[in-house]
Amino acid sequence: VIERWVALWDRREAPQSLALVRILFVGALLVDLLSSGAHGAVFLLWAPPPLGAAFGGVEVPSPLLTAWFGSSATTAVLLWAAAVLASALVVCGVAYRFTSSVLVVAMIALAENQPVGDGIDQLIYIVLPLLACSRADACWSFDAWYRARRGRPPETAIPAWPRYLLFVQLVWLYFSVARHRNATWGPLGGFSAVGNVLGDPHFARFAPGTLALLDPLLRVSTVCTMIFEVSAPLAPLWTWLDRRPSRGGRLGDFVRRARLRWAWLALGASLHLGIAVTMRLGIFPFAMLALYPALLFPDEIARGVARLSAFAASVSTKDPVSN
Amino acid sequence: MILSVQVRAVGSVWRYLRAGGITLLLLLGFVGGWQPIAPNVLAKLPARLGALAKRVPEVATVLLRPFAGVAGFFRITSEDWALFRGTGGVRHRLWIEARGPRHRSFVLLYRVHDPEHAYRKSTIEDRRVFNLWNAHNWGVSAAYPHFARWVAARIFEDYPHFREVRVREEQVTIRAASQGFTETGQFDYERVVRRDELRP
Repeated sequence: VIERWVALWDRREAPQSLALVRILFVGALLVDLLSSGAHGAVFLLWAPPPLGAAFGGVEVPSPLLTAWFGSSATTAVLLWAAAVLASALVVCGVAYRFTSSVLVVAMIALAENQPVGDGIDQLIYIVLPLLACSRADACWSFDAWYRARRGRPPETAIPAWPRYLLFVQLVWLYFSVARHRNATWGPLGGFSAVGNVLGDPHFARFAPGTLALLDPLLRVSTVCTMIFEVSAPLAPLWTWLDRRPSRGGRLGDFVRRARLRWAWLALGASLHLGIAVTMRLGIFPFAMLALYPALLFPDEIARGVARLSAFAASVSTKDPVSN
Repeated sequence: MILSVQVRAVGSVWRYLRAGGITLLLLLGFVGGWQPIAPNVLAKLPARLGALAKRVPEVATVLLRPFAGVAGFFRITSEDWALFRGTGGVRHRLWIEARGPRHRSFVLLYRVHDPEHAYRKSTIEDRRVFNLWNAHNWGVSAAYPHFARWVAARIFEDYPHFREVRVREEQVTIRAASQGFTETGQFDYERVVRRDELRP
């Protein structure tokens, strides 16, 4: 058993899944950081009082970098700029080992200055070190391009364990969220939770009450959300059965015929897209979706990318006059 | 030959070390995700099981203590994800007001979902700034007073005639059937900042 457990974490696979997570997740973080800058919130968030609200207003020891460089608006801007630059370089896969480590340190420093955050911040602090330990730069990156330019062979297999851990993290996150839900998410509360959130002025994107006509649909979406989250621990099983056509007996046949794995993924994606359209939760839905490539195998990603490329090529080669 | 054998041996040890480290990480994550059992659930459990369940947070703390330094460094506080735990009931709506020396009543400058009162809306509604003032069931963040002072400072810069700024959150009741909310006229988390307080 131990040998099989060790072998599981020793597996290698093509780099497409982790590379896509790197681009999308850190891309979402980059947009988040840039939007704080565009909204004029950098001083407020990361400069100390009275100029800002840094240190979260709590009595904590001075953060390490701030202790070295002094607590000021300049330090706040420098930390933010370092995080932005490191994010951009990580997205492009430039000197990945170094820039991904700098990004981890920069985000920790920003968090020390401003401990107040939400769920997606907590996820960022977990995902970034995992990505930094991975070889997510092995394809679709400057580093890979540079390696090819120097005549070195491409890296076709990288350690798979960071993707497995991201998979476990997502599954656990959804299940943990489901365990916390109160009555409004269930039949006793009439599955009113999503409608309630859209009535909450702090979270609703549209004026609260605007979507009252859709109330039955919102109740259905509450039910779907709960089904999705409660069934999350089954996602690894469905994935395993989906990839092994000869395994699982009748259950395996059913899972493959009903495409349960893909139905679960589609439900999750639609949940996050629904959140993105109707609620104001910043990068939360996008950053969550950015982790979905970790739920897919590299060959599936490569096939999807090839199809997209073929579609794009067919569109670009069509004669615009005849259309 | 000898070097190749040595490299293979180190590689083999590394495989086990890595698998052990990942196993430890998974176990710590699992323990960090243990949710304290709600009192109503505890009451339904048999006495011995209930007494055991009550000790879950204490046991988790003891198990995680040796690793708290590393987790703290990476800002990983928990694997217990309580997102949108409860919805409906009484929620809050942020108001920002100001008044001059001769005005008895405050002038509304910003209110959530109020297009006519949208002072510095893009900054105030930035995702990270939102976390500073958004009221939870347990209250507002420790940064809320600093947020109030920051807003007051900006208002005093933009409107030299104002002398006082008031930041507060109105209680609103979420209506059934996705009908939105009802204002209650009751306010929480009121902070009043006077211009002379902000002078250096």
